[in-house]
Amino acid sequence: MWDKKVIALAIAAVLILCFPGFVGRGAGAVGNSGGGSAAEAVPVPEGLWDPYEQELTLTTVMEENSGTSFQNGDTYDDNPWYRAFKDRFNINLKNMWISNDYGTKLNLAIADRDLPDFCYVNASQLASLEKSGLIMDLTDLFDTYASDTLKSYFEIESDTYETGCLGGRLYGIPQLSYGNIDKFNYVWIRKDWKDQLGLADPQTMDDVLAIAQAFKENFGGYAMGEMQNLDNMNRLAVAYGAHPGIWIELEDGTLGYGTVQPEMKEVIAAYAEWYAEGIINPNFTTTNQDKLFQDAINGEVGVVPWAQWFGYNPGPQIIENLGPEAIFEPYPIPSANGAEVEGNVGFGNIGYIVISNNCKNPEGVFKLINFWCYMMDDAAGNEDLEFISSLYDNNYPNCVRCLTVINPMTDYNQYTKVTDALAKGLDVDVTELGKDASKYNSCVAWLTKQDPDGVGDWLQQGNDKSAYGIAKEYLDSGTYLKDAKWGQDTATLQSVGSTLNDILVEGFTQIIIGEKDIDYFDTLVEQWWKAGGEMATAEINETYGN
Amino acid sequence: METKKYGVFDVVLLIVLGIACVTCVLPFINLLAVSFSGSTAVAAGKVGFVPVDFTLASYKYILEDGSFFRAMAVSIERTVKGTLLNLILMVLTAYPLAKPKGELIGRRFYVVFFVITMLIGGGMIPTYLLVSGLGLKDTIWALILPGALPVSNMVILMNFIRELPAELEEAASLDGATPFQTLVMIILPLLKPALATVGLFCMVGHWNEWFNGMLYMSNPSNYPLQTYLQSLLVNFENMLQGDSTYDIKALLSMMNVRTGRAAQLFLGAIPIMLVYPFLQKYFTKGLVLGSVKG
Amino acid sequence: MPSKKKIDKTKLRNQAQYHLMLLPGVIITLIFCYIPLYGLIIAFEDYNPGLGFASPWVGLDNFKFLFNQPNFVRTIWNTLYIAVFKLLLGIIVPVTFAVLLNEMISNKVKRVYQTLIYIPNFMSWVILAGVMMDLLGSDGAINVLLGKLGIEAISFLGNAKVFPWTMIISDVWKGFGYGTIVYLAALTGIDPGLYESATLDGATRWQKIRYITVPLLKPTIVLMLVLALGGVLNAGFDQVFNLYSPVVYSTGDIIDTYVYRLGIQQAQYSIGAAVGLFKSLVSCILVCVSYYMADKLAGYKIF
Repeated sequence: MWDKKVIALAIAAVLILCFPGFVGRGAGAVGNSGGGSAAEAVPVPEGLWDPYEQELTLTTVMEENSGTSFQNGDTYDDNPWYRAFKDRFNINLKNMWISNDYGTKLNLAIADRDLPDFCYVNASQLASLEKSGLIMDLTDLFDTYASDTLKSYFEIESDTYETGCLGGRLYGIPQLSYGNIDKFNYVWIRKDWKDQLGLADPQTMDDVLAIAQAFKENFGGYAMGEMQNLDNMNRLAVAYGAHPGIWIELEDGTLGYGTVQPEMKEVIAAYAEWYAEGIINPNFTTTNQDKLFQDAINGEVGVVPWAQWFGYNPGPQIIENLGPEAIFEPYPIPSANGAEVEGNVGFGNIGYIVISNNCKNPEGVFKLINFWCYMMDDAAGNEDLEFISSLYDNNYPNCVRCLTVINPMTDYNQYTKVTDALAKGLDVDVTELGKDASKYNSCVAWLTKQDPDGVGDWLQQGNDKSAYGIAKEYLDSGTYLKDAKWGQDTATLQSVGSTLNDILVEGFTQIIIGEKDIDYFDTLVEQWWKAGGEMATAEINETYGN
Repeated sequence: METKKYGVFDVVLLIVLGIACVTCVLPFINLLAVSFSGSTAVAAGKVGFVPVDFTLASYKYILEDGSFFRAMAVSIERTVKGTLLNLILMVLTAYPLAKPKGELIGRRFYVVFFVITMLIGGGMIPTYLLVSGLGLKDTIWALILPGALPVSNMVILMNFIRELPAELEEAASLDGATPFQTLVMIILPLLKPALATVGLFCMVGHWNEWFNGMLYMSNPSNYPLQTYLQSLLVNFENMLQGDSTYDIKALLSMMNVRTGRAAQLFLGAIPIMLVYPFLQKYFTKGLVLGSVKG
Repeated sequence: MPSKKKIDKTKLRNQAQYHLMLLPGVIITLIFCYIPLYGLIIAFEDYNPGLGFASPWVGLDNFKFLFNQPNFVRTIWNTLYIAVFKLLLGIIVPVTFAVLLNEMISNKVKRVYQTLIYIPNFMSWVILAGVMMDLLGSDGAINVLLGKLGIEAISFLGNAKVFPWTMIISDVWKGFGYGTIVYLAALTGIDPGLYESATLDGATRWQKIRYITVPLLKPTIVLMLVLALGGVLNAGFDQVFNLYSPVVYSTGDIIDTYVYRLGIQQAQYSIGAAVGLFKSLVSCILVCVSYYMADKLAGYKIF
C-alpha cells in the first residue's frame, strides 16, 4: 500500500519536472518558430497602390496602449486598420507579440534574433541592429516604393532623414513627430483670479512674479509651481536667454550644453531668490507631476510654467472642481532682461521603422506606410468620412504605431484649419476638415456648453492666444533655437547622460534651497565636466559641429 | 488547568500591539476609499480613509470588462501549479539535505551547489534566451519552472526537518521503511506547519510576481493578474509623461483609471488574503512537538 | 539479527533513494540557474543585443568605468547604511513582536493581530509609496499630528538627513509581519511543559521570556540573519525608487537605483552586469563570513 503511493508520487513529480510540454497546455497559440513570415516571397503587384493577388502576411510587434478603447470586439489583432490593409492590399498583418514594456521586450527579441518582418526601434537599437546585420538597407526601396506624400515629409525634415542613415545608407525610416509647434513652453495663469484682480497680461518676468505674488496674497496657497526635477525652472530659463537641456552654438562657434552655460547661473540665482521669498512651492523637492496637478486642481497655485497640453490634464479636473472660470490660460514666457525671448525646440523623432533581413516582401511595408500617410493627409474629400473616423476614433491609430510616419506639419496645419473654421462660426460644415473635425467639434462644445472635455483642444488650438497660436508666432518669425544635437545621443551621453543630469539637478536644488551659495554653480559645472561632460561635448562637436 | 487573568501588562500589550496593527491596515483602507471615490476627488488628493463622491463605477467597469477575471484565472492557475511544484521540489530536496553528516554522501557538494544560486544569477537576457530556446514561451511553465526550487525557503524547510525528533525516523527504519516511505508516511505529516509557512511565501511570490508574465507572454490576454495590473499602471504613467506620440485626448479617458486601478488592486489582493487565515491555523497549533510528546 | 551484508545493502538503497530525491531539484537548478550563468561574460563585454554574447571583449573596462564614477562609491556607502539598519531592526522588531504576541492570552486576538500585521506584505511599494507621499508630505497627516504636539514639520522625503531613516522604518514596518510569522512558527514548537515547570519554580513572566523563549528563538534568528546577509546589498530598489528624488541622492541613492538610472534607463547592459557581478562577489564574501560566525559563535550550522 505504501509503495503504490510512493511510486505514484514519484512518477507524478518526474512527469511534471521533465516533460512540462506534456502536462502544460500552451497558454497562447502564437508559435515560437521565430519571426519571418512565409518562406516564399509573394509576387509584387505593378502599381504602388495595387493589392497583392496572393495574400501577403507580414509580422510586426505592438506596444500596448490602454488609451485605445476597443469597440465591438475589436482587438490589437483585428481592428479597422488591419481590416483596411486586408481590403485594400490583401495584406494580412500579424502581431508576434503585444507588450506594455516594449523596449525591454524588443531588446530581448533582438538578443534572441527573433525579429518580426518590421517594427519600430529607438536610435540605439537601430545602430545595434545595423551593426549585427539583422536589418535591411532601405535606401533604394525608399526611392522606389515610398509615395510622394511620404517623400515630401523628408523634404521638410531632411535633417531628420539623415538620422536614420548609417554610413550614408538608410536603415531606419524616421517616424518624425507632430511637429515643432508642440515643443514650446508657456506660463499658464489662472483666469478667474487674474480677472478678479484686474491684472494685465504679463509683458516681463517681473509681471509674472507680480501676478504670482498677488495670487498668493489674495487666494493663499503658494505663488508658482515647481517640481523635484526642476522642469519648470528649465521652462522659464528662456526668459534669461538660457537654453537648458539642449545643445547650442556658443559665441566661439563650438557647440555646448545649454544647462552649463553662464546664463543658467543667472536663472538659478533668480530662482534661489524666489524660493527664499516664498514664491516657489516650499516643498517642491518632493513634488512630482501628480502632486503639482493636485495643487492646481485644489486651487493652491495659480501660476504654472508648462507645455502645450496643460489644458488636457489637469484642465478638465480643474473645471470639475473649481468651475469653468478657473481654467489656466497660456501666455508666452516673457523676457527677464529686455532681450527678445527665443523659444527652443528639441529633436523630436519618435522612432525608426526597420525591416528585418528575413522579410520577403519589404515593399509591402512601404505600401502600409503609404496608406497611413494617405489617410493622414489626402483622405479628406477622397474618402468616406465614416471610414476615416472609423480609423481615427477611439485612439485606433495606436494600433498602427509600427508604421506611423507623421507629417511634421500635422499639428501646424491642424491648428490653422481649426482656428479658421472657428473664426467662421460655430456651425461650420466639418466634412472639409476630415480627421481634424473632432478638434473643431470639441472646441465648439467648450464654447457653447462649457464641456470640460473640450477645454484641452480650445486652450491648445482654439484661437491665436492659445498655445499653438503663440508657438506659431515663434515658428513664423523664426525666433527659436533648434537643438544642435539633431539626432541620437553620442556614446558618452548614452552611458552617462542621466548621471550627468543628476549631478546638475541635485546641485541646483541645493543652491535653490539655500544649502549652497550661487558660486557652487561653477563647482558643479566642473564636476559635470569631469564626470563625462567634457567627453560628451567633444563627441557632440565632432558629430554635430560645423 | 489554571485560568488566565488579565493584568495591567496584558491590557497594555493589547493596546500597543493593537495600534501597530492599525497602522498596517490604514494604507489598505486608503486604497479601498480611493476605489469607491469619484475620479475628480481622487485627482484632487481629497480622498483619505473615507470615500468622497461615493461611486461603484470602478467595480462596475471591472465586472463588465472581462480582462480582469481572465487575468485572475491565469494567476490562479499559475499560483496553484507553481506552489505545488515548489512544495514537491522543496520537500524532496530538503529531506535528504537535512540528514546528519555522513548519512548522505556528497551532502556538502549539494549544499554549495544550491546555495550558490542564491548569490549569483546570469541575469535577464540569458534566462530569457534559455526559456525561449526550450520552447516555454507563452506557456504557464515559463513562469513556474525557472523558480521551481526556491532555495531560501528550502533551507527553512531543511532546518525545520532537522529539528524533528530523530526517534521517529529510527523507529521507521527499524520497521524496514525506505527513505521514500519514511518521507511520505512519517515526515510529511509533521511538516504541515512548515509547509503552510513556506507554502504561503511561495504563493504570495507567485501571486505578486509580474515581470516574467510581461517577458514571456506574447499577448496581454494571457497575462497573470499582477502583470495586467502593472500594465495599467505603466500605461497610465507613460501617458502622463506628456509624450506627443499619441493623441493627448487619451489622457482624459485615463483619468478615471486611478480609481479603477485601486479597485483592481483591492480585488487582486483578496484571494491571497482569503487563503492566508486558512493556513494561519497551522502556524499556531504547535503540531511539531505534539506528535512526540502527546 | 540482520547480517552485515543486509545492513550494507540497506545503506546502499537509502543512499540511492536520497540521491534520487535530490535529482529533480538538481536538474531544475542546473538548467535554470547554472546554464544562464554564462551570461555573466557580458560584464566584460561592450554588449550589443544584436551581436549577443559575441559582443566586443573589453576586459575590466566596465569595472574601471564604474569605480571612476564619483557617485558610485557614495551609493555603496548609502546601500550599506540603509541595508544594515534594515537588517538589524528587521530582526529586533519582529522578534519583539512575536514574543509579545506569544504572551497574549486571547488566542483569538492573537490570530487577528497576526493577520493584520501581515497585510502590508501583500501590497507593492508602488501603492505604498503613493500612500506614504500623502501621509508624510509637509501637510500630510503625520506632520499635522506633529504640529499639534508642537513639533516642527519634518520633511521625511525631502531632507537628506531624514530620508534614509524614512526608508528604514517604513521597510521594517512593511516586513515585520513576515518575520513575526516565522518566529511565531518557531515559538509554537516550544514545549509548553517548559513554561509550566518554570511557573512551578516561581519564575516571573519576564524571566520566562528571557530564559526560555528568546534562547529557543536563537537558531531561527541566526538563520534569518544569515539568509538576509546575502542580500544586504539589495537595500530595497522598489521602495527607494518610488520615493526618492534628486535632493536626497546624497544619502538615499543606492546601488540598484543608481544602476537603474545608469544601466536600464540607458540600456547599458554591460554596466548593469558588471554591478551585478560585483554585488554577487561581495554577497558571497558576506555569506561565507556570516556562515563561519554562526558556526563559531552560535554553534549553529545553517546549511
